[in-house]
Amino acid sequence: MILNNNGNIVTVGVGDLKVAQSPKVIKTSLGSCVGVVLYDNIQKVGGMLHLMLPNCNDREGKPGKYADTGIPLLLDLMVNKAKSKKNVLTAKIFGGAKMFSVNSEVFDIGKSNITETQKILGNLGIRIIASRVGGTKGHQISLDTQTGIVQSRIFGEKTEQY
Amino acid sequence: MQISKEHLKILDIIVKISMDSASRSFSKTIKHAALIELVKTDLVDISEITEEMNNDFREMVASILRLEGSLNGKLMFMIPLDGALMLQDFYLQDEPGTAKEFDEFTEGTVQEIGNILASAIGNSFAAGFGSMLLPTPPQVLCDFAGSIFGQLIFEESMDNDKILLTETKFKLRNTEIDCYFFLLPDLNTLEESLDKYEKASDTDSL
Amino acid sequence: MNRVLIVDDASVVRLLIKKVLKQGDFEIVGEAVNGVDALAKYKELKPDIVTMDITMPEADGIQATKDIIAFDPNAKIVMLSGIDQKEMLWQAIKAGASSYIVKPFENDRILSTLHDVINGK
Repeated sequence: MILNNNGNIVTVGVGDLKVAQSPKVIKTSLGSCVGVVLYDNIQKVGGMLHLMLPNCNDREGKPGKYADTGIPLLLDLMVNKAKSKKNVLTAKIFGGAKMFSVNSEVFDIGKSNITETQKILGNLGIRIIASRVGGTKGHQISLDTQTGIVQSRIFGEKTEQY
Repeated sequence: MQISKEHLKILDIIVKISMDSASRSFSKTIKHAALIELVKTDLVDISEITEEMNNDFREMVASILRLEGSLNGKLMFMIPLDGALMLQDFYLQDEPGTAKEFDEFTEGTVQEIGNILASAIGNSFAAGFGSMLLPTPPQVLCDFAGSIFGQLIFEESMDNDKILLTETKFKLRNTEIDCYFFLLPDLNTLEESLDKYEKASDTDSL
Repeated sequence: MNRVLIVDDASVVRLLIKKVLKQGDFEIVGEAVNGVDALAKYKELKPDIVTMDITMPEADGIQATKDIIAFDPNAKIVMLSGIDQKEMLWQAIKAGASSYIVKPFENDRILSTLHDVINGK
């Protein structure tokens, strides 16, 4: 694979979450997974979660795989580790496409991921200020922690800023 | 997801032999050498492996198939878009540079290479395990490397943080084109096959 | 000219086979994209020989071969498959195939095999 070796770039894998401060850029590629971006405009700190399923349902494993365990964990990292104030945090969400499925048993998981993400952020009192979700194609996002702007590029479409 | 060290070693060897045969089929198909640059089989962490992929910004064409029989699994051949056009010219025995835009023939070429590789792997595994393994018709998709790979491993990642993955990297000789081949064996049927294989080998050596 | 029906679900494979056959004394009279289509085209075109893929949607190549042989026991069918396994070869022969070429194939091998089958060798 061609790696971007720029030291300022932090990449997030499936089921993972990362928090970084300016001048870092945090990025990921999404399919049916949802990318949740939290941003603290005061400290210029951003966090990104790459979740793949809506609910943990007592499954073991990485909490970052699920919306209901991953989003609270990302919030916890932002508040307790990065020392962000919860009331300044804003959220942006991306991804959740209805991708091709290798197995027909996996239904439109993207849609459930979006719905659950919106619900959980709402319950936690975090405002979603931008979103670009759905579709049928992959999505690359990168968060500039200096500005809070997310470059969002859906396959076959122009890059847009959110 | 667990596999014994011994089974992982046997699998690693069988895969390396299969990939040798697959690379010969691949080269013969495109009448151009496809050189193996790397083959590795390991239990990998889903976040770590996808982090690497999500850092690959290229647009890719991929062909995904299932292998069905005594050993189940998923296979994927993936190549960058510009590489797919070059592959099409090789495959159709056209002058390099003939294919200019991605079309049904580019898609078909990637699909066919997926078929050829899957068959070569299926044949080698079938010979090793003494059973029949058949590839299903492939699905072709065009998307970002990370998005494609994420979908490939989706099912396996639902219940496991680690997955068994074989990654092979080919380089087309005298070009800058790298392409990738992934194999995700289903662990249950793999263990059964490897047990049978071991027993058969023990009997042979008596 | 020997009249050929090419059966393969992939247009790129059909294109390649056409290119190869045009190097010999073959006329491509038709193409079919699955096993059901193959039988219909065979009935309509009555080709001298058929090249048949195995893995296809709808009816696969083995089923199509059985169906064509049921319609015309003298049909000449050459399997072109990536599957190099004894069981599959056996199934193809039982279904009535005259020969079997494993992909990836050499251009000369396709031409010589088709000639041999047409000449009853």
